[in-house]
Amino acid sequence: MSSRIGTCLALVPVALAALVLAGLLLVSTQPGDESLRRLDLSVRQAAEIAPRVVGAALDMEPGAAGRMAVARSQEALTERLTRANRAFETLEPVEPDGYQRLRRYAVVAFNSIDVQAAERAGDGRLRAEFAAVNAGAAAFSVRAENYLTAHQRWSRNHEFIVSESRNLVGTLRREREGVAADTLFASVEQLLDRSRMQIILSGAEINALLAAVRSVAERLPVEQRPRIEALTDAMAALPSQQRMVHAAAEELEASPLPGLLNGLREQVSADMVHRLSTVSDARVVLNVYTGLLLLVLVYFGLRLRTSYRALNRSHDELETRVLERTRDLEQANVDLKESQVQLVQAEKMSSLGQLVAGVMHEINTPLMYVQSNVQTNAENLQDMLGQMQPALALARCVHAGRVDRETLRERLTELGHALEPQAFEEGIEELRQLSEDSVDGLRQIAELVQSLKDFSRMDRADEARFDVRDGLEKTLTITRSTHKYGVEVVRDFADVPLIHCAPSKINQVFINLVNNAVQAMDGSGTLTLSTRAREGWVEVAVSDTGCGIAPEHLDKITDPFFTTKPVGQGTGLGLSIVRQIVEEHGGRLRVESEPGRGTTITLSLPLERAASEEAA
Amino acid sequence: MTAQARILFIDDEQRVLTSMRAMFRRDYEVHLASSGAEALALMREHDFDVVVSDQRMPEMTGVEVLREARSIAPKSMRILLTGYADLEAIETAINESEVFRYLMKPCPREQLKETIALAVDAVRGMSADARDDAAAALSVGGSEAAAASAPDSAAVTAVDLMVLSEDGELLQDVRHAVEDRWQVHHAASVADAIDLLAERPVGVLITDAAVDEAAVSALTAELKQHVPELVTIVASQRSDAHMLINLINHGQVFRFLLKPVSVGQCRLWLSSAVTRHTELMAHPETVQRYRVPESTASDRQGALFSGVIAGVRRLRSRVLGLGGSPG
Repeated sequence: MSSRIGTCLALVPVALAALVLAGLLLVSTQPGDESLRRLDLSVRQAAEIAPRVVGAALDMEPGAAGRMAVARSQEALTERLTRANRAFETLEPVEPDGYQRLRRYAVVAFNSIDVQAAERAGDGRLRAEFAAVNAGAAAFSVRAENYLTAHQRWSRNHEFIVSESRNLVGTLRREREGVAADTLFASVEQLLDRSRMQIILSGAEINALLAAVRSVAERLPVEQRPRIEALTDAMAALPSQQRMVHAAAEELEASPLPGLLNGLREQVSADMVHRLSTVSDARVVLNVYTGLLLLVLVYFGLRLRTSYRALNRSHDELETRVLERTRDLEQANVDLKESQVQLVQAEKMSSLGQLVAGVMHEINTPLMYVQSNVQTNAENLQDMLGQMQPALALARCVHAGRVDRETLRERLTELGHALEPQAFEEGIEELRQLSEDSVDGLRQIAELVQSLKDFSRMDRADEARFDVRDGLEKTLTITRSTHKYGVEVVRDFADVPLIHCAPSKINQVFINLVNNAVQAMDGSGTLTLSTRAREGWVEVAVSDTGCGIAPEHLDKITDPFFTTKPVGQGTGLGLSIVRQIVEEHGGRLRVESEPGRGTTITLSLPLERAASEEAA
Repeated sequence: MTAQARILFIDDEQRVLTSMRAMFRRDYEVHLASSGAEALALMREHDFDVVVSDQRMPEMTGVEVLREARSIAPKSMRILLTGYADLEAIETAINESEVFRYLMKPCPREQLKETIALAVDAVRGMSADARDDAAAALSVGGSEAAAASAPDSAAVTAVDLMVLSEDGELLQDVRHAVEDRWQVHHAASVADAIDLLAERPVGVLITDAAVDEAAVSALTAELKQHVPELVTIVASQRSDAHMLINLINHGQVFRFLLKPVSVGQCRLWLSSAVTRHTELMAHPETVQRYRVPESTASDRQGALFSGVIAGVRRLRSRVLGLGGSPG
């Protein structure tokens, strides 16, 4: 872009120079001479074309058409200038008027040109050339002045000689001095002829002519005779005047102005050529630049294409990836669902595990003493059997009918020694005590096993008529180990109708709630279980006097995985499962809690499992 | 010397107490307590050879009762008999109550009888003088504060510490806690540990259960059997009830250190451990108090170490024979 402006700017001085030259030529050529007219025409044309060149250059459009337009304009301008120059060369400024005008215009034009040239051309050589032309023009005008003065002096003298000689010839004719008149006329005519032809007479010739003219003076009346004197003086001065005109003309002709003008023309022409070459250089630069631009454009085009391809590729890749990710996500979703199922299972197993651990302890303690008691009793019985041996022997004797007094005494003494009544009684008492304890222990175990058996239906979703109080009792039995110490259990059971439900699931809910309540109390407090009958519903409430639930947690406690316990100590699924089970039964869960005071969780279960159909 | 050993059973379940009395009344003088407070009162009144307590009881748990028993009746042997494998309780049983055995209900009758017999032996087997000495030593050494306040007495005897650990963390913790009071050796493997035991007068072993849980359990058990004066502290990232019970019953491990280790705790326990070791060296008969059952043939890992460690034992008695019998 800048290169193009540069090119235009380079053309501007060329056009200006052409204008200047045209103006100069225009003002310095006026008269009706043919060559002047030609010059005038050429210069006018050149002046017309020059702005067009500038315009074309300024508007030059990149491309062959623009360049050709500029080239054509330039060629036309050069041609016109050449023609103007030729006209100028053939110009012969011999006419006095032409010279005068030339001088006047030249001074004015060069003055203005000088300024313009100084301001605009900016070219050193061109400026010097203009200055030289200016100086030449000044000198030329001085010479022209000299010439004109000499010419004037000569022509006035010439005119005087003509008129005076005519008068004298007339006077002589009137005096009937015909011979004298003819002599005068002939002599003057000879001189004027020569003068007109710009032939300078020699001194001898002049003297002869002057003698001839003086000879006629005697024929004239006396008063007329001084006129002859004046005539001869004028005639005598003519040759020297003629010589001066010649000299001035020669000097004028020798003026360097035409040469300077020619030089200026050549200079301008050369400058123009230089400018044109600059333009052409610029054009080359422009072309190269354009080429480079084109290359860059092509490069970027290629880049763009590559980018588009890459983009397309990455787009495809992206789609593939998105598909992969989607697949991964779907897989992850499936995995998540599976792991959720597993977690729910794990929670179930974990609560089952806790349950079993608790129950195990409850079983282990009675089992421990039942086992031990039975074995101790066996040992005791063995002891007692030993002590009873004499009695048995005695009994055998009695049965055999061989009882004599001696034997009887012997056996009884033996028996009395073997049997320590107190120890035996103690033994019997211990036997009884241990047996009793064992029976109690076994009953405890049997109860627990029975409860476990009920709970072992956990994974069978058997529908049944169910008394929630039974469920709560069983729950208390199998969780006994958790609340045996420190926790007071209050049973606030109102009569309730049977509900239709999956007992194992409801039991699971009870266990969960009881465990939560016991854990919240951390060892000591009151656990209250209550049942209420409401219109078509049964309500079960589990209350504790534990730590309570922070209000900000209240909304979240039934969310899956929500737990305030440390990692690894709870799955956070307990209440989530509780809610799920309750909802499956078409029931509701209500949580009331006061931090530091305790929590009450109330289940409302419908008598008929109405909403269960769709949930199941 | 009284004819019968005196045994105290503590359980909140009366039936268990009845059963115990029925089981042991022929052989021992059996006392019963149905609560911790009752038991402590009885302990202040009588000298018991063995105290057997249930863990889960209202008001005072078994380990709490036994911890008190350590100061009231230092020479009595403490046994926990419980239906629970409660982690916290087991840790307390090791570190605070220093129980002789941790028995799980229902405990086979024979095992219970054997264990009690063993405990009775540990007390009764000693001469009356030795018993008094031991009791005196125990009452001093048994107190953590005493150990901490008198580190110089422990430092006089040449005792080295050994850390058996794969990573340097435990070693670093121990070195930090020891502060140059004792020399600390590092064994990266069980083999290294055995070599070091033979060469150096190692009195306290600190081992990382992470090295190999089973191996560490077996090693601890073997060491207690063959090098009973060696006091063992086990460190672990996690505690596992089964492992801990094994460490008590078969390794008579002195302390269980849960990682990350607290330096203050570690320092205190190392002092106590050195004190315990010094006592064991001074009163060799007291090692009975920390007897463990001999490894059975089925315990392969143990059998593997057994021969080696038996050799170590012989070597050590030679090496340590020089400085190992003060006064």
